[in-house]
Amino acid sequence: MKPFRPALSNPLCTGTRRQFLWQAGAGFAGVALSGLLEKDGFFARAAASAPPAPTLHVRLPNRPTRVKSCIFLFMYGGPSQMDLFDYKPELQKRDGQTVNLEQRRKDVKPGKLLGSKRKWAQHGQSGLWVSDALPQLARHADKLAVIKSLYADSFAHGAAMIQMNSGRIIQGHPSLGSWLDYGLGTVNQNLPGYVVMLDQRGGPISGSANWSSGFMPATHQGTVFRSTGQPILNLDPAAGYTAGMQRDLIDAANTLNAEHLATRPGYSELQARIASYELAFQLQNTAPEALDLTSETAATQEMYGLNDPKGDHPLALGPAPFGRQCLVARRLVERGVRFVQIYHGGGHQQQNWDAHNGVEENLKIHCPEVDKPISALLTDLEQRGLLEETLVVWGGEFGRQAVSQGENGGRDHNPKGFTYFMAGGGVRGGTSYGETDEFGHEAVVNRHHLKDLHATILHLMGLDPNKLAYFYGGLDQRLVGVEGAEVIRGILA
Amino acid sequence: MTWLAQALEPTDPGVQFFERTIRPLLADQCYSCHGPEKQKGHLRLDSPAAIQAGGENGAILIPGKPDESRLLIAVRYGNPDLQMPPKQRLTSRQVSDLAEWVKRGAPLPDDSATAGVPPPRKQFQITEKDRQHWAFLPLNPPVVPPATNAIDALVGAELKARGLDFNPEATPRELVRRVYFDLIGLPPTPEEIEAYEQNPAPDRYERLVDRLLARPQYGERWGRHWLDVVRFAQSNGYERDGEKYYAWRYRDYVINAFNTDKPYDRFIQEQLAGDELPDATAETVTATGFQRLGVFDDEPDDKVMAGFDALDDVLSTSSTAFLGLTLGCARCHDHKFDPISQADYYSMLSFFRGVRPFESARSSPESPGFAPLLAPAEFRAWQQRVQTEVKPLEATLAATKDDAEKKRLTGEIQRLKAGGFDWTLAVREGGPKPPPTHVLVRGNASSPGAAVEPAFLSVLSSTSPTLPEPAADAPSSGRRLALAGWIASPKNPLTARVFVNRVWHHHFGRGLVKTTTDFGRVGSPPTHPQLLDWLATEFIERGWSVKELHRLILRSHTYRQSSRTDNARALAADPDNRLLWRQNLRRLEAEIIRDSVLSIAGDLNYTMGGRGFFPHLSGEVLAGQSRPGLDWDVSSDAERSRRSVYTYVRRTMAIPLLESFDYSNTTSPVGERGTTTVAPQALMLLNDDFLHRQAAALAARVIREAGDDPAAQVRRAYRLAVGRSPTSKEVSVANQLRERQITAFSALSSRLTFRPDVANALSSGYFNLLQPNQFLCGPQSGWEYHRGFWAPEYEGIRVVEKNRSPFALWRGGQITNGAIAARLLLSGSCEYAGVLFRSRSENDTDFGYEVRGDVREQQLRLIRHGKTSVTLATAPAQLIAGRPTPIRVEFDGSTIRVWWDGAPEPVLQIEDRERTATGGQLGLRTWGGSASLDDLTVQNSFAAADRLRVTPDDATPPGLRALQSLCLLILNLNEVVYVD
Repeated sequence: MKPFRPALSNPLCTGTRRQFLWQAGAGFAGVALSGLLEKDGFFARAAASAPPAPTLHVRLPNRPTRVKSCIFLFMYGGPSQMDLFDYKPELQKRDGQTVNLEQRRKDVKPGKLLGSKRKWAQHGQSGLWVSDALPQLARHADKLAVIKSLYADSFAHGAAMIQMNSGRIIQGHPSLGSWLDYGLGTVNQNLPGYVVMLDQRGGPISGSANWSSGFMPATHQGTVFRSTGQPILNLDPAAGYTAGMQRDLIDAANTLNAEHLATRPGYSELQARIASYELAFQLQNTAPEALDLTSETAATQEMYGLNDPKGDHPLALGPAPFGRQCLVARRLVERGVRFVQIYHGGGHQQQNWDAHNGVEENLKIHCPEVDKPISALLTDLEQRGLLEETLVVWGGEFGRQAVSQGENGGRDHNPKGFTYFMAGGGVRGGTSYGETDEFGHEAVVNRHHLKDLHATILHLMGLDPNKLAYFYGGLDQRLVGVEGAEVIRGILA
Repeated sequence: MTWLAQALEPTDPGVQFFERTIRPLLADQCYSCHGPEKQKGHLRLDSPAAIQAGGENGAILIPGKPDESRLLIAVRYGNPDLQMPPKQRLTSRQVSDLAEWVKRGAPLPDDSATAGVPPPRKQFQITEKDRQHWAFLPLNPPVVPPATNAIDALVGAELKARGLDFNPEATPRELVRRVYFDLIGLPPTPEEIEAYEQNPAPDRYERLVDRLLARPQYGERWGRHWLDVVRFAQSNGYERDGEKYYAWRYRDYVINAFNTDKPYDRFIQEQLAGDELPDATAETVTATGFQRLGVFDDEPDDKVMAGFDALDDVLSTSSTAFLGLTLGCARCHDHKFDPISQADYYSMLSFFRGVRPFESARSSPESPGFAPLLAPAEFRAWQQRVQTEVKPLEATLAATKDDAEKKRLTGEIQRLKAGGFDWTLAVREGGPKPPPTHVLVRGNASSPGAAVEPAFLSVLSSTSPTLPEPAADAPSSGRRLALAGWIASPKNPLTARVFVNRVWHHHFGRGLVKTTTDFGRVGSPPTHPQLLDWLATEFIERGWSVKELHRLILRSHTYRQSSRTDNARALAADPDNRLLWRQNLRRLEAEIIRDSVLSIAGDLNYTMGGRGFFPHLSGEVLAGQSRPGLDWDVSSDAERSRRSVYTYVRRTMAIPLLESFDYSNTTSPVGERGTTTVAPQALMLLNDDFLHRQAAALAARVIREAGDDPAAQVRRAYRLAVGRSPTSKEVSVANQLRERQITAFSALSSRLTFRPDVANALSSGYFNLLQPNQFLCGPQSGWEYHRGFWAPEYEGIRVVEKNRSPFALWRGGQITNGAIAARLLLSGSCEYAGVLFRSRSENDTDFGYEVRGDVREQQLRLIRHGKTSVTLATAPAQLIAGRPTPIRVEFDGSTIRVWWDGAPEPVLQIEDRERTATGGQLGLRTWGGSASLDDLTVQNSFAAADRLRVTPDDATPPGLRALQSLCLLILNLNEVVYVD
């Protein structure tokens, strides 16, 4: 099997001009940059001669696909499958009974079954089960492909987060978004191809290791668009400077750097650095523009829950913060960003989906925070004809136990069986795929390791998961590992 | 499956059962992975012979014993590591059929005549071709005529063969800058350049090189290169990412090793076996910290597997660092490209097998990951001494009945046992006999295969290692010392080649072997193989002296030549400069950019060693952590001016400035840093607070050293930054910029700017470290700062009440009735800003009124903050970032009126009868990004004479600010970031 490695030796042929400026990397071989700049009229000011610019393309995927972008809604902490999508009447019937279950790795011990307190109903034409914790999302049942039979390897957040993002429980490997950015390049003009947004309660455990590019060049790592403060670090001119003064400084630097370059022809990296200052200046407009929601109609803002109050619970934020991020995600996708990952839930315990201290309380805090925004996102994408081009993925780093923990009806971590849903491009809506056992504890029918989830996402984005490779450390490294993985075909349209 | 159809109907009922029930079941459920197409785990189930043969873990069934047969264990899903089929369990009927069949003795048809026998597994073999791979052959240095420079002769010959020649020597200034950056990672001062230029001595260059090699900053520069190779970090990674205590001692050890020119062979031995050396000292024990630097999961799902992950980390890092081989690839199967078998891997692993797994606890003399900062012999003597001292005490303790006496004795024993040492990160073994090492099938710790003994890589060595036979009470096996002896040997063909190539890489920007960490078959072959061998041989002959190696390289014309590209013919023939017809222009590394900026500004703090310092993290960066600020510290400004090699290296908190310029990786070895050129770097150098502070320091320095004359100032700034005087064009650009910036700053001289610098959430510990004026930054004199209201901690985290964010109050006095007028300016990231009046702080929370401009809501809101906050009125308003907009607030008794954007009528007007006419201060809050007030005037009562203009008391004059801008510009020049 021949690995698919996007041509990196000549990045000039693999990206749009702007992407190139964002991503110009170690392999920068170009003699053409001055040509690119010429198009901007830059070297009309700073004299330099250059060969004509080559035509630039987005990297072509392995197979044709309409899907251009992916929005990954990461429910940090691990949402409870048996309270949201994985209906288990038997569990509810046997609520309170004691059973032996594997509660930590190879640690089988008795526990008291905890039936879901939610009310369940089938929704849409497909009759997909969704609990009453997500009433608005339930109306989109026919758009969802729910995979109920995923499993992963770690019972601990740290390793499980890293695995859900990079396929390994060991740090140092590139994350899913990095693989997409590497495999597909970005079609945007002035924005990074891989954007991460975090919960205002804090980032996930292991922080930036979750969106690291591992052994790939750092240009493929996720760029955090901050929800508070400058969306990109140091984007605003420093305090006390105006945009005009910043422009003035950049102009002067460009002039002086062009002088320096004139005595060192052939060093394209010097040209690239001049260009990077231009892009930096433009970013000061394009990034805030992408984040600026004032141009969205009142109806749209309302739909995403931007005006909704915080919940009653002191830890609840209400739908506005996540709604804002979902809306930003749509705007980023419209602007060609490949991969947007939004972490919902931050900090610890009940501040995210980590429902040790009471699953009912946890659902009460978090479900209203995401229910309306995700529904709005699906509606909005559909109305704009973007749903076909966008893959929406929802889930956490693992699921939760069928048995009770603590005094407030909590549930502990459970990587042995958990639920994800996908919607949008290439996905067969209204699908319920795979099964856990009668308690929702362990995947038993159509079991899939999470790397099959990764494989499916890559496949839907037009990449062959078993071929997409990056050579490092003497090996063709793959997101799905050397053993390969299987696309979950049962959910494909 | 063709043979299935041919099979004759069997007569044995057991075989019949197999054919009718079991074989279809296997075909249906198992063949897709264990059949003709795939043989996962080297297991096939499509023929009787294959079923009997089993897979890589051996037999899958024991006839008659279903419960012990792996086949049944797998399909019953009893063992989480062995569950088949992986996607979907068999039905209970199918499982019981299989059990029944095995119980009957697993009868199988005779298939001697049929096909489908599994092919023989490919045997791993080392061919003659493998042994002939260039890097595995002994060093074969060319004979170079005496009195010629061998490097130049060898490089020159290649050039000549293609009709090319060297560039001329670089100018003295370029050369001085180059050797300064290459050897100490700092720019020369203008005086140092001048002294060199004016020095008539013929050996001025050699003397300069010697002087630089003798400076302590040399070790910092070259130690950092080594730290890249050994994935250095000071934390464990993973969920908690706790501190890896005393990792800094290893960093200091490395720096010192380079400074003292520790022979490289000894350097290797100390890191691999510093505790086992006959002359081991506290220093050599510290060196073994090398093996403890990797990531460590304190909550692994599988402890045994995690133990092997740690051993793999050490073995992979060692082989990459010392041998330039990707040995880690052979962990799960034979190496795909290089002649390294899986057995080789585990034989090499067994050298480290005795090392006890790391634990993060550090306080006991028995901690596996830490050792007392003593020579091992001293430590053993101490242990014996303590034992003799403790024994009688323990006897007394056992005999005594008195509680107080018991307590005293217990305390005394504990005190004696604890030792009161200084500690260092180190390896400790459990004794002279390590546990056995097995090949792990597919790298899986729960599938041990054949046992292996320590052995060197078979492609490089046919002899077995001579292992010591340690005494029964020896603390370790001595295996690592044997391994170190084999690696750090003149006979090892890789060790010296790999190291001299690394040094070459750092002097030229590219190694003779481009892939500095991979000398295997997929690595690049050397561009100059003879030169590589010559250097390696010289290196060994000169006692593995790294400083001598620098001298060899740096004296060559090859190194000293110009990096200019004006030789069009050479440029056309060899645009990549593989033949070295010129030196390469190089981008400085992240740390060197930061260090240079500090040095140019005159701010660099040369203090060496210790735990390190904590750079400032902006609120945006903190917000990305799960417990923002946890385990981060606030270092003093002086500490924050130290060299970058001393930044505290936390695995989950890369320093943004360093990260953006391609900082090293903390999880796996890095031989060649990236040199990306991206927009965020420009944003960093233009707008980061660190750069602005340094620009201000440089401006102050320039005034100090050049006086008030603007022309002299520009000259001095250039000379400090790039070691030369500016051209007339550069002077004119600088002057024009300065004029324009003076005008711009003059127009802004009344501007008061406030900028929040914390995350929404902060860990309590970090929260308490910060001063209120670090929550919100702004003018220092005349204003007081308050943190705002933060909810009590939950899980150690405090979250700001967004409505009551940090704020500043003007110290100019109480105003009961009056007016405030200004132009309000919001930055692009500002979410809202509010003008406070009749305001006071209680426990850091504001009480009083606020007129808030909310960017997201595009409205003005009048709020009364009490125990709770009440919105009294709202009005739509355009709030546009970057546009100063007039605002006027009048408050007189119960009447409050707000004018916005020059409109003649107030947009907000209310009567607030609930709380009227209480005095308080004027203030400002802003959240998200900075907000400014221009031309702020205050009226206390409505007599016109009372109008007071509030300007920044400590404002920098426009002339100085413009000079700071100019200094910032200079720090952004390509010439500062690239070295010729």
